[in-house]
Amino acid sequence: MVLKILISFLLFNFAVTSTVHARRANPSFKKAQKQFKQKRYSQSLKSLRRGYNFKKTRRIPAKALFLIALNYHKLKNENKSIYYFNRLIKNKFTRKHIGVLKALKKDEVDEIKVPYLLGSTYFYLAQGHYVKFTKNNSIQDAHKAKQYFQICDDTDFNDKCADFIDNIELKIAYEKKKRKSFEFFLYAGRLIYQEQLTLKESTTNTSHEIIANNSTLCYGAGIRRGNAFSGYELSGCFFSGTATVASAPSSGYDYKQSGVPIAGALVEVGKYYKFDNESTRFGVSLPIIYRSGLYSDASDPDTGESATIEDPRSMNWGIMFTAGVQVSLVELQTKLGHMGDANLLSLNLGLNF
Amino acid sequence: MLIRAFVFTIAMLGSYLSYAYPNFIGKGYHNCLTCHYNPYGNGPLNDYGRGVAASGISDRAFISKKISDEKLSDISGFYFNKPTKKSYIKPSLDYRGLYLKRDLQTDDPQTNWINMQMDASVVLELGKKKQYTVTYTHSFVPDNSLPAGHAMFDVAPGEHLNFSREHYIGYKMNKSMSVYLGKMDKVFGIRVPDHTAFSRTKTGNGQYDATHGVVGHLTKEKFDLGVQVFMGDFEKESVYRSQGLSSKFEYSVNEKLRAGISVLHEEFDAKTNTAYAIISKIGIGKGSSVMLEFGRVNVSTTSASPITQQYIFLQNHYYLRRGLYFMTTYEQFIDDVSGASEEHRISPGIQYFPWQRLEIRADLTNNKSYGTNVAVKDSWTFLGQVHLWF
Repeated sequence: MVLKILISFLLFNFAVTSTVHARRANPSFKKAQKQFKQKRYSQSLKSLRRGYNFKKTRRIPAKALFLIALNYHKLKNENKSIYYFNRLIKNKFTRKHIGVLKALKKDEVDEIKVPYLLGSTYFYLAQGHYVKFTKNNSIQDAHKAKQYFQICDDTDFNDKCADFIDNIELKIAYEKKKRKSFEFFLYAGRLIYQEQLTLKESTTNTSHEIIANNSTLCYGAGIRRGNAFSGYELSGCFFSGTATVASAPSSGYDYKQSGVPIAGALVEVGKYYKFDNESTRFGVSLPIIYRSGLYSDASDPDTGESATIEDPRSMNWGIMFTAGVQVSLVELQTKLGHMGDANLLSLNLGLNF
Repeated sequence: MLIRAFVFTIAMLGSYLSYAYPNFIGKGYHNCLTCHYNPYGNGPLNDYGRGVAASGISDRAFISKKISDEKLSDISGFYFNKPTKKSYIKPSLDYRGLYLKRDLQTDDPQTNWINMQMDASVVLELGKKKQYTVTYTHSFVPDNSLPAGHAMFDVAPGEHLNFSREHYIGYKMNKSMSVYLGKMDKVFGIRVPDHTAFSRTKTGNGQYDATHGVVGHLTKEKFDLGVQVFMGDFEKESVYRSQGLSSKFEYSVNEKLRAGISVLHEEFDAKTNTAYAIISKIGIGKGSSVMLEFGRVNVSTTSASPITQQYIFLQNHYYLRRGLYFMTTYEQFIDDVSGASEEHRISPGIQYFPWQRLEIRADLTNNKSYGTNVAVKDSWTFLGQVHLWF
């Protein structure tokens, strides 16, 4: 409604106040004005095209050029609308426009008297860029729109301009958050996990399941590709520590060893989501863990039967869940995973950069 | 009227707000007194606490859009009414039930329903400025929900336990100083509702460890200091009573970071415990938080050599939407720091407040017991909780 009143006012303004120009006005312009009022924008453009050469904008009077741009704006052809509004500024208001932009930088636009036609041009340019921004998410268009709405607001051209600025700022922030980028990180933490090993008696070939509790420290790095809401992550760490290995009482073979040196690597690839102002992260990943241990052969104290651990090296894969909180660049992560027969718990402190 | 009451309460109690759980530092709530009558939390909520639970903490998904948050506050009272300044009797009811499924890793998991809390409370606010508080909370524990150590109350098998969870008289001397006389939980560490946490059970702050004594509390905009002298719970058998002293000092470094220290010393007939802890609460984002308590307990008994135990309690509280949180709780306990055995627990869980007066929580706990002498298989436990309050 506001726009309708504005447009009517502008066209009325051209017709009534520009008496001299009206007398000289190209009949096509008058017809185009009438068609514009009737919302026949394509016909209005046709009429203008009959009266003026659109390729030679310098020869087109300001109001006719404004009407051309406005018709394109109404037809939602923002590229052409913006082009002709810019031609209008270049042809008719170059010096004034430069003055306005300089004043804008100094936050002094309110001290400048902006001609009504130029003010209207800024208002529609702002809308044109805003529409383009909403279509293509171009930050450049967002900044242009914001700039013109800012002039509009500072010159009190239209009350709605301030709302548009707030809206654009929110949208710009959102668009920036949506942009994907790479992030690298280093981390270190405690990695503890339980797995099952197989103990095989040398002479009878009887197998016994035994438990290994591994307690290690893990040092790693990773890379993420994502935006403020979600992304993908690839990371890996090397770990070393000790294990306590023991057979279950019901296994029929007494085996126990503690302080077994173990080392290995954990690699995981997964997807994550961020919540709460991007300060928390939840992820699910597919981890692969490789572990090597220096287990000793055993001899049952009761039977004297010797036995060997079959899998001093093992590889498992499974699923891992991650929850993290981030304060500035530092992130605290808790991971819980299940890989083959291994339950894994990891508590990491990471540095994102 | 209620808003005025809120403003008055805030003005009385300093600039930081509080709610039932310490995790809510993520929402800027630093200490307990704003929402509880007890300066260290637990026990009945005051009018402000009820209002906040209704209008700021609980979800609105099941509430009509026509009902404003202010209206929700107005019906947060015990009788679904608007709490007024004139009313000086504040009744309340609390229930917590736990569905516990242990040994999920086995073919025969054990399932229990435990009535953890069945409390009826009444609070009297007396004096011109309501500077006097008299609180009594009666608790009923059915026989099948009694803890293993129920002998401490001299309850025979098959009998239910009726006891007072807390009762005290409080006096606010001025805006910042108050004193409480009666039975209260000990002033120590971060008072989390997870009463089976190592930080609570190993420091003598379990579900049934309230004690008679005197608490002095000093609160300022930036810090809280509490000191308690206690003489044991007179409702318990004398062998389970302990005398001692506990204290906690917390300082707000900024709006989202609070750190402190806590010390407790208690003496039983045959045992002496001295616990000390470093505590930290960090608010993150719009409502998330990290809480860390690192502590040690020196245990001396007449029958064995003294040992030093160590624990870590780390709880991350992730704000997902209003009323809904994801939690991860990590705990470590070392029974003797000179040894090599340690226990770990990791518990991812969900906490949900669908509407005021109802909290639902579900945790899955992985228990790891690591030592040099034996390799114990991991165990898994599911805990589903429902908490109702009126």
